[in-house]
Amino acid sequence: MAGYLLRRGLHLVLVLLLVTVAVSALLDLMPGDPALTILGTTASKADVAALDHQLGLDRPFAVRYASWLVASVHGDLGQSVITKQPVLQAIQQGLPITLEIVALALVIALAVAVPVAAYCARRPGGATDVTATGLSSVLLSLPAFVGGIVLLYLLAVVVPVVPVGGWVAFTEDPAANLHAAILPAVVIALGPCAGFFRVLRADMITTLQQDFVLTARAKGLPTRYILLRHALRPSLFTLVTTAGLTVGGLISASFIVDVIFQLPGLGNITVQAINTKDIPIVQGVTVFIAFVYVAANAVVDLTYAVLDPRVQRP
Amino acid sequence: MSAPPRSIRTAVLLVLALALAACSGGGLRPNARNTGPAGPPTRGGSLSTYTNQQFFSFDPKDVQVPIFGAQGGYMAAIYGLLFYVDHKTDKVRPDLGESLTSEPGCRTWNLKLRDGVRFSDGTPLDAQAVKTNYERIQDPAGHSPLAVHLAGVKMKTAGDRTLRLTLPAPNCQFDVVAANNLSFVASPTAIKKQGKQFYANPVGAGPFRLQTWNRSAGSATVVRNPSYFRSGQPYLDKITFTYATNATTALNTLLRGQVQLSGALFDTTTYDKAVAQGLATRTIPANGGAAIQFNTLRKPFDKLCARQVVAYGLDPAAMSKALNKSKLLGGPTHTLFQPGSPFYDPRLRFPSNDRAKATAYAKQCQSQGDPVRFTILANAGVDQQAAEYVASRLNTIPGVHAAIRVISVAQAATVVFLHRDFQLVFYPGAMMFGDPVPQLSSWLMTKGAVNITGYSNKQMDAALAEGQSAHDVAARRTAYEQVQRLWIRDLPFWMYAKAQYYFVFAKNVAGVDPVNPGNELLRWNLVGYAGKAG
Repeated sequence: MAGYLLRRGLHLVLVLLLVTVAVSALLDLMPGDPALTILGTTASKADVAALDHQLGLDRPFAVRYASWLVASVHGDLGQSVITKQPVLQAIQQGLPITLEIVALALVIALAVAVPVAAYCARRPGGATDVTATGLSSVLLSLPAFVGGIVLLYLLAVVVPVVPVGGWVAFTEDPAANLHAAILPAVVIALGPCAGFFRVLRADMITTLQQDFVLTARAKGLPTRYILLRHALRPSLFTLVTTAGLTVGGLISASFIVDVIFQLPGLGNITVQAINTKDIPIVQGVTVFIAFVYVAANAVVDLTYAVLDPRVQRP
Repeated sequence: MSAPPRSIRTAVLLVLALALAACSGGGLRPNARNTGPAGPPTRGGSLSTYTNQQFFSFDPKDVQVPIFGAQGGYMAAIYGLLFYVDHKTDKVRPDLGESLTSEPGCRTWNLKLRDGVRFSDGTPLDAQAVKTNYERIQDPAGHSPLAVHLAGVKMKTAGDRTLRLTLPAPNCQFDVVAANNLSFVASPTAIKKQGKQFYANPVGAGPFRLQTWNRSAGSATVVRNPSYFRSGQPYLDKITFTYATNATTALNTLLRGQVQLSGALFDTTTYDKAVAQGLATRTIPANGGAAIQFNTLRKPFDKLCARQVVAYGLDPAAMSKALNKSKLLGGPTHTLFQPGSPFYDPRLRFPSNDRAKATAYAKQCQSQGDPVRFTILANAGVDQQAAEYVASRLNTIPGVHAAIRVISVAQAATVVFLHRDFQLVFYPGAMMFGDPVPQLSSWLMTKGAVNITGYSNKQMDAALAEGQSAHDVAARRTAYEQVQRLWIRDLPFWMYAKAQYYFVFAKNVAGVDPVNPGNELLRWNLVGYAGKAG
């Protein structure tokens, strides 16, 4: 187990290194100059060069990366070139919003997908099943930004039941917080909801053909009881795995809804930073998210390793 | 005031380039399409508004061009204005200050302050405070974008309330320059106490003081300053400024009433939709307009004949119709100054729409060994359509070949302003101004701060200097007539559409009366809700 942990740890470090090098290099190649953002278009080349020097932006890429890496290892992700806000603080401010939207979206997706899939699996090919399967195809092919804009128009403008955008902290007003979060969460939940439905429906159809289900039916147990107590649980394995993997996709999708709904989550922070070439913020957020991804995968792998010792073998 | 700001990285640029927004003045009058309640507001209420620019500093020395949509909005709330230019009279009026007058010759100016005005930390807004602020702007280490307006200016206090400013050269319009660019003054005590953190902890003498700055959310909230010097003002209790990152959401929040006021956002269709939905509006016409800029230091536009090909090859009316999405704002222009300006002269029309002449000039260029082959630099999603329109029109002229190079908005400022790496560019789109001082000078003077065309003409420099130093309107009119004649002859840039700034706001918001033509700031102490507070 110790060897396995060591290998996973090295893997984590390697992935983070690659991600940070790639992001830093891409940002370095990106056009624009933060000094010009700060000084405005009337700035002379000399003024811009002086500020670039002051901000350390005139150093070679390798030097800047190495210096950032050393500081990051010590827990200092730097500060925004534009707002001078510490990167960790920016992440701390944006993360709860992103996590709330993602968690809410996951709950919504599961809450809708599970009962509908169970119901449809009961009569595959029936009217409800055909309709739900067709709708899931539409939702799976619908990009979040399209769904976001359409739902925004319908539910916030045409029938104004939710706010158009903006955010209220949970601690400030829980009801208003839910009101602000619900539509963005629904938007990013659409795709995963359709995916979960498909996976669970297929698994349940298979499960419902198993002998133990036939036995239960033969015993005269009610259909609802059979579905919920006998068929659902053994059908959930694929769904649980898929749901876990979907969290990453939901974080990505939250970046889009952050912009559409003007939410102060990690997505909005990153987009603003990209627009102003605020390298430390983009680096910090990217590394943070990469770390979360890699760490989550590592936890999953470790869980597999505990469940099935064979995966520990090199 | 100087050139349209760039910082904007996204939205202010979009406003300047696409929306034909931002500015007015020089005798121009707000047009008749103004709605909203009359009469003074009542006390109380909160208001939300948008900015087009990410917040990065509340320090007055860091202000680029204090236009409403950018830093000007929230800075005016926190610092108030020492002086402002009245839209109705075009005169400089005092606010926190008492007077700004020149001695004969317009080289020495006396800036006098009101007695008893204090910053929100209780310290006095006196002559020394203004001097300290202006010296910070002058300090090269501070990299202040406003330094150009105080370059070579010597200052001396004369008692507690008067600051004498001696300019390096006569400038009878220095009061306009100061009202537009040097009106935000911070507490020297707070500056000293906060040190490098002052940018985030501002202390001014304006009607509001900063309560919170949520950098991640791109929003700032200011609350009523109880020690504001005007009794009973401001009317509002709180204003929230939010950086608008999405045009659709911004418009929808306005229509839903989540946001109560906004300056020009993204493009002119916002204005049309707001009018259609019955929101109140203010529109302010401007001199200048949407422009095409030639790099006169590069082939083929180092030759006048090439610039004339473009000018004669395009029709402002057709171009404006094709490119302006708004049915209510804009329209073609044929002159540098617009009706309403004391410098407007309908006879001084720039060349346009004559295909025969365009063809002849193209032949002339070719015969001189310089065919009119060039690349239009376009901002992705901003002026790409305009570039395509121009290329499609000009490519029908024999001997002309126009290609398009698309770059990102983030790249544009560096490419255009810093490296001047272009032949023909729309960026920054609309060249708009109220009084021609200092904006027109900054574009046309040889050493103008944003003279990106590289244009240099001693006669033009002299005429612009005369327009700046002349005191009476007749002499200024003569100077700017000469400016227009030279511009029409030399064509360092060419215009096609009028520009208008606009405000859209909830029907019950009162006091939306912009000042400072060209910057369109609000005097926030006068803004509030008519009737029941919102």
